[in-house]
Amino acid sequence: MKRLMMAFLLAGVATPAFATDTSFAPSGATASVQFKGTRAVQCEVKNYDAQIDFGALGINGAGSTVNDSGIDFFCNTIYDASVESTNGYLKLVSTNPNAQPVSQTNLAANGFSGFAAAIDYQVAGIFGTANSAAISASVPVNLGTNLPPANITGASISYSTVTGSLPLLAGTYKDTLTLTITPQAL
Amino acid sequence: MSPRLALALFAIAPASAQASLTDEVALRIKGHISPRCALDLSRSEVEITLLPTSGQALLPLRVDCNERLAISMMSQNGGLLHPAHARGARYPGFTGFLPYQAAFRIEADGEKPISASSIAMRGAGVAGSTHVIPYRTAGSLYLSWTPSEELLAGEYRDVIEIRVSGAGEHLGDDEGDGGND
Repeated sequence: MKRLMMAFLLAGVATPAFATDTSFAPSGATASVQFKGTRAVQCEVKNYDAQIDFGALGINGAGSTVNDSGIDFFCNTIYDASVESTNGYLKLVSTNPNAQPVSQTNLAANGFSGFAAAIDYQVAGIFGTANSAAISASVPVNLGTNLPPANITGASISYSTVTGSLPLLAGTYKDTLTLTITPQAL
Repeated sequence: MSPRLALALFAIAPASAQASLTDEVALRIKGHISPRCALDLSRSEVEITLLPTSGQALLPLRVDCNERLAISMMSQNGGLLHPAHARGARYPGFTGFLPYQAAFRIEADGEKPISASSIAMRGAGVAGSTHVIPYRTAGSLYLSWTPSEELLAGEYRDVIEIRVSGAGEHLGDDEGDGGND
């Protein structure tokens, strides 16, 4: 009798499982993970000549056009572009106060009447055409805002002098042109 | 059907020692272990540095199931998505959408990884089985991609939802199938 009672107790424990035996729903779990990737801003001009030499200029500054080819420009976001000239023209390298140009628009030599102490030049290429006559010294000129991402290879920039009305003083003429690319958020 | 552990016991127990009075009792006992599948991702966010070249990311995970594992994977965006692309902005030569290949793996013999493209995982997602019972088993979610165009600068995001469950099958005997009768 004791044995029988124990058996019934065991059966009593197991019975509820039978009731749901055929309707077991598979248990499960759900989890989410966020993947966040970052592509860094990359804007660069490569393979350009850092120095352009017009060579021997004519009496009034006429010179051969210099082509700089094989330039690569890459920017993977929108950007602003500007160009800035140190002098606003090719300026005679001289410390003589009489051999300085009168102003940005008057390139005549300060103290040497009939001669020029500077000469304008023109740049044509990736961002269009710019004449240094339109670029004041150390004042950036806007070439565009929110320009589209670019991946340009093998581009060319040509440089040429703008012949003036006065003969140039003898010497070396220099300027530094700076292109600035400012990436913007997309 | 869900797996279950079934035990049937039949006892023929004499009610007394008297040879003339014979009593017979049949007793059937069954036990049941509830199906269970748990998934533990090591992180809820994975940060990736994207380059112009191919890349990959690995998320370790653990799975604990007492039945054969079935999983489904869903991608919110169908790939890593840049906000500009989501807004509809398009720039020739560049893309703001980076599809990837995802592989769910379990470190177990006989395992079959579940692999799918993120594009296929969009919407209803993809489902499959690893063909193993991953009891307290390590695994991983592996992502790989190769950009087809230059990637726009910025952040790309996607959310993968993983659901693990039993394959919906009983590994034990069903009641009434006569297995232990």
